[in-house]
Amino acid sequence: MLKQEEVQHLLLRAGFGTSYKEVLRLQQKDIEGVVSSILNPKLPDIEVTDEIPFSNEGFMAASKEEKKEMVKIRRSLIKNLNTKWIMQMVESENTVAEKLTLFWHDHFACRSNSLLSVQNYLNTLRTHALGNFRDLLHAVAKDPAMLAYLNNQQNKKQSPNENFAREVMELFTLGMDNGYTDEDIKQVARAFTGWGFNNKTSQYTFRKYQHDYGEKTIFGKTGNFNGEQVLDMLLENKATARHIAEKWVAYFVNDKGDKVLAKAVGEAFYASDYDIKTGLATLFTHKRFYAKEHLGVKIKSPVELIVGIQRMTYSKIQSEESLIFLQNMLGQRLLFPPNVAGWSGGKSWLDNSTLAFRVELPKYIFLAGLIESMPKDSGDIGDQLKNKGKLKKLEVKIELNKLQNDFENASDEEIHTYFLQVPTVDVSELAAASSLTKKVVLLTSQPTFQLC
Amino acid sequence: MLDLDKNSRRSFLKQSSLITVGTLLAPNFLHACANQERVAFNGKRLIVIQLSGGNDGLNTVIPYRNDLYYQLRPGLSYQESDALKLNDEIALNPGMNGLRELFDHGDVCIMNNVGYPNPNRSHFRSMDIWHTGSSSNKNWDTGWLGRYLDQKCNNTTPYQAIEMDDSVSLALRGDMNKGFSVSKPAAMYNSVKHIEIGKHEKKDNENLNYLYKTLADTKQFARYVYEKSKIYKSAVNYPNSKFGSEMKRMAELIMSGVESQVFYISLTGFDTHARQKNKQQKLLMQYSDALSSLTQDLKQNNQWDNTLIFTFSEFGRRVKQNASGGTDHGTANNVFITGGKLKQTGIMNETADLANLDKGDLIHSVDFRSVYATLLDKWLDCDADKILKQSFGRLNFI
Repeated sequence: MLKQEEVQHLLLRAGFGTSYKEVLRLQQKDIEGVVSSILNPKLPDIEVTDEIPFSNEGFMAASKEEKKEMVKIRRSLIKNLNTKWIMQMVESENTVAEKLTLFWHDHFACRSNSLLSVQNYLNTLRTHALGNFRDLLHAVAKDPAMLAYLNNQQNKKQSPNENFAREVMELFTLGMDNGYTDEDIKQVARAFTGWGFNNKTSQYTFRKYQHDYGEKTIFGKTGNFNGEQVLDMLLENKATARHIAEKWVAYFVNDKGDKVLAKAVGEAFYASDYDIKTGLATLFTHKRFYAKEHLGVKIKSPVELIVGIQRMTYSKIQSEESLIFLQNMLGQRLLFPPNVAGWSGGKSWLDNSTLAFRVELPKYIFLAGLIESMPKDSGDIGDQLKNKGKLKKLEVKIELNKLQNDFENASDEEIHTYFLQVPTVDVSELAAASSLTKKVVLLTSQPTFQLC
Repeated sequence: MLDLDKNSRRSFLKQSSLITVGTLLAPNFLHACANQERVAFNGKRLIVIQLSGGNDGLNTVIPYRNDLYYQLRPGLSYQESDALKLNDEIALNPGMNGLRELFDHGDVCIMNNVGYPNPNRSHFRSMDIWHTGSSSNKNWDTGWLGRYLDQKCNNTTPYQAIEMDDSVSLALRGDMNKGFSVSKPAAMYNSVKHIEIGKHEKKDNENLNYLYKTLADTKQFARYVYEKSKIYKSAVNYPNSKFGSEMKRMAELIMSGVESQVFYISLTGFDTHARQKNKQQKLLMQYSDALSSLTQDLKQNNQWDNTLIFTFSEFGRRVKQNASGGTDHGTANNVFITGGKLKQTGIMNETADLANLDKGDLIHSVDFRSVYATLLDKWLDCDADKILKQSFGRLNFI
């Protein structure tokens, strides 16, 4: 049996937090029962379009007025995809799979100007989020958005491009400087020559005339290796399982890591031939996962904060512009990671202004407070997540009756524990708050609400 | 390639985990330089002006005698008679009377063809490259001025670097120290003033301590800036624009005695893919007029000789105009250095070579990190090579 803060720890880290009612329900089960009940892999695809609204050629050939219209359409569709995804995280019952999709977006960080490619890339991550890492790696390596992002479209026999080869080892599998040489990068690049995509359909294609069929020596082995074989060689290496396990521990447990935990997870992951559910079940049921030193020590990412506060309070941020504004303001724009290494995370989420904004956020959500801050302008006139004008208020709908029902029999202490993993507010102060909304604002405005 | 500086971060973490209860309000408790000597404000101040969106350098510093300029930009070029001539080769955009006057005074150094190898034409990537000072094939997560803050450890105040905005740019983010951003000091103070700082520290929760430390600094900073901002009201006229009033607010902070070594401010809108001419000219006028007001303000208050202003943009634009009366993303660009104590003034190097392009783009001849190295080394008195993780040649403008 888990304590209230331990159930919450699991739900906050493996997901985004959930209602108090659900916390109480899960508290009745044992760890294995809870973990297996939340590791549900089924995720629906997210779609905003099933075709490229216009090709690059079509765009170039269009008149000025048409171009303007096209830019508008593209922007509205990408905003739509972005916010649909966020709302999916808010509403979904499969939060672990949702959280994993977010993790993979950070791990296989990628951006693309082609809407259909972005959508397909996102759905690739969603399909395999809790599936098998081998399938995921192979799928991402053939994903047109990634092929474009890491210049594999330009990786040809006559003039190899090493970008994908380098990142697939450095970031996606083995980890930086971990068991490969510069010569390996060159040889691996040759194995991926010819992997490209069709611009019109946004589908993977193998261009055999651009593939280098010659002999390659990779990790000391010589053979006529192709890209698929290289990926399997990378998976064969235990360092890949270890690297992913370490990243999971940093992401789900503690920025500082936990060696015992990482080792256990890495071994289970490798032994199961990269079954993601097995790896995560090991992580979330391990005693070390619930170690006191790991509770309440992670800084919530902007998306964790935005999604979590809604899930925990039966509130819905309604308008696209509001959700886009929050991402712009807090410094995490989904589908637009800063670079292939993903977001830096941890303390880098916070500076003096973003932290001040975070502690004010409950006022904007629960009290319709007036917003004064403005996000930075990226300078890009085509910035697809640019807000339309200045946002003064968030559009929010709160189901207060559900919230009240949940807390009907809860003591102030339990309410406090529900919102804050780190004890912060004196219960007497909480008791003095005259309404549930006031209590919620008081608790979610605490700096410690930024931790989970 | 990635270079995340994990080692320096780890050693910092080690140190900060030793922090004990009750030291939370001590201004330096989270800083790694507890054992290093703190450096006092040397009186010299760097102001960075960022022109966001990719300012078209070729229509800013105009080669009005170059036939190729007119051939490649039939609908976008400035005629000799319209531009503000600096010498018999080069003229400024007609919007830049303010800068022109400063130029005539010997307060300006113009550097042409500044860029970096393998240029990236994405706003986001190229801006990150300029902010971090990395090569184009590396992803760094700290900024050049942030690493300066880390190295200086001059944290007798938490506001060594101030950005006039609602969030802090990557340029000002170090591993241990970050610059502070402020647009409305009073509002910021109000949002944090009720937060009690002293009673929440936990020695095994570093991120929690970081939160309260940041809030303590924010409180202190916001109160300080708010109070300072009441001391001096500028009598100089600034352009009536967001940028103009931010420049004015910045000047008022400086004149009120805010001891910050770095100020950071941005003007956006330079992504001129269509109907560029008017748009850019208006923006350059905003920039140049505000710069002129700031200079006047600083001069009247004897603050000009200890100020250096560095203006840059994330890239220049393509030499050839596009079909929409604009220009697309390009590469090398000019930067401006303005200040009262320049050793080199006027036009520092050769103008853009329009006959020798790389797929239609200018080829850089000065690495922007040479400019950074010069600013860090000769103006901010720090170890530039360490901050840039490589040695770049120094320039002679200071």
